[in-house]
Amino acid sequence: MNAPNLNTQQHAETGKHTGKAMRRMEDTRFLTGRGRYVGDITLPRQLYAHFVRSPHAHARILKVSTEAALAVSGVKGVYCANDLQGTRDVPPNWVLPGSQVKGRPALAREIVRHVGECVAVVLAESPEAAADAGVLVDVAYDPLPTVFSASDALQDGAHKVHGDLPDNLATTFKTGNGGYDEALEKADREIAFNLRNQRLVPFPIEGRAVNADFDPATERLTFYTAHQIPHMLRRMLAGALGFPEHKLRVISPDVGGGFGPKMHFYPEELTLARLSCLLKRPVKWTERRSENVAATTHGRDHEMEVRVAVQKDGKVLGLKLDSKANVGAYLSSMGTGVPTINVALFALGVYAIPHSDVTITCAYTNTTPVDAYRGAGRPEAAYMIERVMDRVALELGLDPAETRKRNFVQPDQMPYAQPTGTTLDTGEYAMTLDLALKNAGYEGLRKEQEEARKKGRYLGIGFSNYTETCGMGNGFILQFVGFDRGGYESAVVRVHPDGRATVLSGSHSHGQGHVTTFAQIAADELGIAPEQIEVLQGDTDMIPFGIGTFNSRSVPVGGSAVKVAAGRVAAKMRRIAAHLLQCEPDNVLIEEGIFKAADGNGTVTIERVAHAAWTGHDIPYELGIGLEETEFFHPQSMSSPYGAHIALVEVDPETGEVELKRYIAVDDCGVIINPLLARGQVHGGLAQGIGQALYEDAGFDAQGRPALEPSIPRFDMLPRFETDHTVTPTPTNPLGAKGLGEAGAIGAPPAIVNAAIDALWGLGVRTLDMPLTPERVLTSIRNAANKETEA
Amino acid sequence: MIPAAFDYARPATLEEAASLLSQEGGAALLAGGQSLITELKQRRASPRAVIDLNAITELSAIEHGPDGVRIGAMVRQAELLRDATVQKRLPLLCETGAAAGDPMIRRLGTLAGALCEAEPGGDWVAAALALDAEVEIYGKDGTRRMSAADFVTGVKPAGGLKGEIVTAVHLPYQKEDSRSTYRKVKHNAVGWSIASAAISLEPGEGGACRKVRIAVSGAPSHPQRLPSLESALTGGPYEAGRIQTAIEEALQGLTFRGDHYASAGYRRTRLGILLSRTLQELLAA
Ligand SMILES: Cc1cc2nc3c(=O)[nH]c(=O)nc-3n(C[C@H](O)[C@H](O)[C@H](O)COP(=O)(O)OP(=O)(O)OC[C@H]3O[C@@H](n4cnc5c(N)ncnc54)[C@H](O)[C@@H]3O)c2cc1C
Repeated sequence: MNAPNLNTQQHAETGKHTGKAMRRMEDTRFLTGRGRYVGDITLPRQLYAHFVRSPHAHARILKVSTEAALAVSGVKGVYCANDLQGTRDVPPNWVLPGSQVKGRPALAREIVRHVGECVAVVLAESPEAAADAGVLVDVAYDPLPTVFSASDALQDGAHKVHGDLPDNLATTFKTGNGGYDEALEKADREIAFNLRNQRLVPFPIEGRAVNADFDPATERLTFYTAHQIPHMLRRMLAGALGFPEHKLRVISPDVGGGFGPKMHFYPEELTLARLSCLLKRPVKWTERRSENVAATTHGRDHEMEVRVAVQKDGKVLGLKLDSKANVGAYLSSMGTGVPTINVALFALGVYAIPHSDVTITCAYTNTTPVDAYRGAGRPEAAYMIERVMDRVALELGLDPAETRKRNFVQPDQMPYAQPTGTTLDTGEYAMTLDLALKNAGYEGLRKEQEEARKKGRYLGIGFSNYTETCGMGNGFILQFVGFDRGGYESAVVRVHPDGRATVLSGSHSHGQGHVTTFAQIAADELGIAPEQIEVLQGDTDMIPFGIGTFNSRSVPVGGSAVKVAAGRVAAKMRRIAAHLLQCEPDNVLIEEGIFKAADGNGTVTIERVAHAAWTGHDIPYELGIGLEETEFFHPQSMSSPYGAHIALVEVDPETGEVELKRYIAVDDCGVIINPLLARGQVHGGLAQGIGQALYEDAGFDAQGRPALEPSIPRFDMLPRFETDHTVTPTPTNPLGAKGLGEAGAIGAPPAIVNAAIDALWGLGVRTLDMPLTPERVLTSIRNAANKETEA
Repeated sequence: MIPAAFDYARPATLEEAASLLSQEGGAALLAGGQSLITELKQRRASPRAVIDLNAITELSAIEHGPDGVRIGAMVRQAELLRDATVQKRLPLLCETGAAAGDPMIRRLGTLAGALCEAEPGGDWVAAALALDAEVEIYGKDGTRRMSAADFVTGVKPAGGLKGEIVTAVHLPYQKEDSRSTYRKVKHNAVGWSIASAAISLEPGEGGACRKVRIAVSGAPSHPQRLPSLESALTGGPYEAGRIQTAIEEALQGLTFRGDHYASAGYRRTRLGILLSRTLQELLAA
């Protein structure tokens, strides 16, 4: 596929290296088996952990018998909650004001509340001994009544997940400017339906992994963990442990995928850190897949009722959303924030809808805690509003693209404050949609659909014009919504005496390729090749306090920090070079490590400049020593990437099977740093979005146990993606970049479900729930047929 | 995932393997390990000993005869699919193999192991049934042969093996003029079949089939032939209504299995559609 076409008035300002489809410099290492993950790190005197977990969704612990386990040779001990006295529960870090907070206990006390909850941990001299002993720990349980869905949990008389919370309610959040009833009075019609955003298991290839190493000599704790946000984890871990933060070092080496769940703080982490401090030995644990599906956080899980008041011409006058969100048995790190703020604020998508009433109710249930997963709330919002748009079009007999255009926020309205609370910074939605229509050959597709229908084949076309906000920033706003984090990112740029550079970044790649993109950004500023630059992340002793990688924020915020810091180093190099060249700094050009005076008089190499900087030779005293700058880039506000996606499906009405035939994605993430990696992000996101639409759910059985093998799509289950970009740079950061990591996962589900409904609308199917398993689709077709015969 | 401790032996001869197998306490035979290793790691099986068959060279031969082939128990699935004569004379087996697992699994997995494992959603088993395979079994009383249909009955261990070792699988070649195919509806999570059929038709007089063999997998409790459908289709005429009725009758006698992705009811429906579409296609050819 072609490089992105930059078909916008405001052309992206890209440099010599940024904007180029450079291959990832880290791939040689990864592809030749030289990645270094937490599981690869084994320390002297290493102990190994095996967690004993609850097979029950809700039960009282009667007795934990450890004799048989302790008899296994090599076992150091078996530990339960009362061995961890003084350890706090793992607290959530994003708590919407007014929430009822139940953190995750390090090890369960008396009661277990979801399958997979940690009850005890075995430590042994070998992983084999730990595993052998683990199965011998005998826990007697008295099962208690369970509740699994948010709507059940919120019913009167529902079983209580926490004894002291009579209504299972975690929080309720309301937003919008109100007035839905007035809108309804003016409207020609009301359209109402229910939606389910099913629970998903995030499933990174590398599970979680920890090696906690307390050194009694230095009284320092070095904590290796597969994580997305090492500094934040240090803060949270220090707090829960009561450990001095300056003596706690978190190292996150290579991380094999995260998708959100590796940005949380977990009971296992707290337990192992505590035990390492107690035993003064390193303790290692690598998660098994069965643990990953049951104890690592899940995503989504909303049950929604939506109503819209519409005019005949498709204009939406008001929207009312009532969603019940399942937070699981305890609040994980982003607790009540993701299901409320991250959903409700985006409920109106890219549309100017005059009136809105949004209510989200979060309930505790006997399930694995739910937290951020690629998209984190925005997929739920986009799914709802984009399903609404196609539904409105189908009900009114309008074209769904045209219906959207009648509702879009217009470019001259930017920045546009949605009454739900988010601000859309930039966006030319019609332009982006038009490009998608063109790439799809939309008119031809509609004809093809009509022809196929005559032959008894059911093609469907679905749309999605998602938006989101990325580049989480501004501490003030985060404080306002109860998110106890900063919104900045750190970078250090250091040019060494030999003219090569190191970039330290508080972002943390878990597969995104920062080693390459951040080097491209720094290279353009410093006037050297990306290969001359090493990007280092993931060690809190080495890197200034950072916020980490999530919310598609690494390029817009972390990348901007690199750009600003590198820019300052470059300015200083120019001043030194100007001195050496005896000209004005403004007159100095840098290219490939050579400084030139603009008028062509002489050159000086970067080595010479760097040598002068680090020795103080040859330069005026006032210029100071060194070529190193630190930037904490703190954006004023966030950016709003968006896109127009079109899916073409064919449904077999006899089997219910949905074939995704084409997927056309046009994304606008502002300026693109590396088109190749951008495409990779789009592809990965789409795969997960398509997984949600067609295949995946947590697959709980009647006992509340998630399926061991979730249906994640493999590449032979995906079509060739037709991707493209428009570029409307954001003014919220110096790169003009908006973030792209979650786009595909946000955009794909509604496009695909809309397409399937479009295919079956003529058969009387009005709605379908994800995942579109053949069985579910077939049942809907049959139910629609039965209704027709009854009518 | 760490298995429970076990003893490990790697005998070089069949006799040695059999004598190890007859010792006290359960032992498991290891062929390609594509099923067994998972069982061990998830601790669904905890045998006292694992007896590795990989060093027994006499089990690794593919021997072609005039009417069929003898496939040694340790012949890898990938090797089998690469064999030119197998490709020519057993197209149904090759078509099935391409749909079973993935290249890494086939690189180690064996046909004999797949038959011993006799997974309800197994592809190889369906092909072996439709091809009238025979399993060659070595025990202390010598060697015996058992038809695949008797070997795979849904009861474990397959063939009721007691201290015995499968040494080979015998497959008669397909008739030159036979029409066959393997069709599979995949379980999205695991790639196993939720409904599949291995079908072989031998044309007779006037377009009617002389011999029909149909084995199904994935949907029913275990892979099996559908004798009533086979006899209904032996001899024409092949009008749609009659085929449909015969399929329905054949499915009536089966017990179906399901999971959260595809229920027993759906699998039954899907198998019916699969059979009807595939038979129409083959009979029209
Ligand atoms: C991820 C995955 C996906 C798969 N997908 C498919 C699929 O889509 N379709 C499909 O058909 N199969 C599939 N398989 C299964 C695979 O084909 C079988 O696991 C494999 O063929 C079994 O053969 P093996 O040589 O690996 O047997 P092993 O795992 O070594 O043994 C299997 C069992 O048979 C016994 N056994 C093996 N050899 C002998 C012998 N000579 N005598 C007596 N007992 C013996 C063993 O003791 C064990 O109980 C899949 C496997 C995996 C891991």
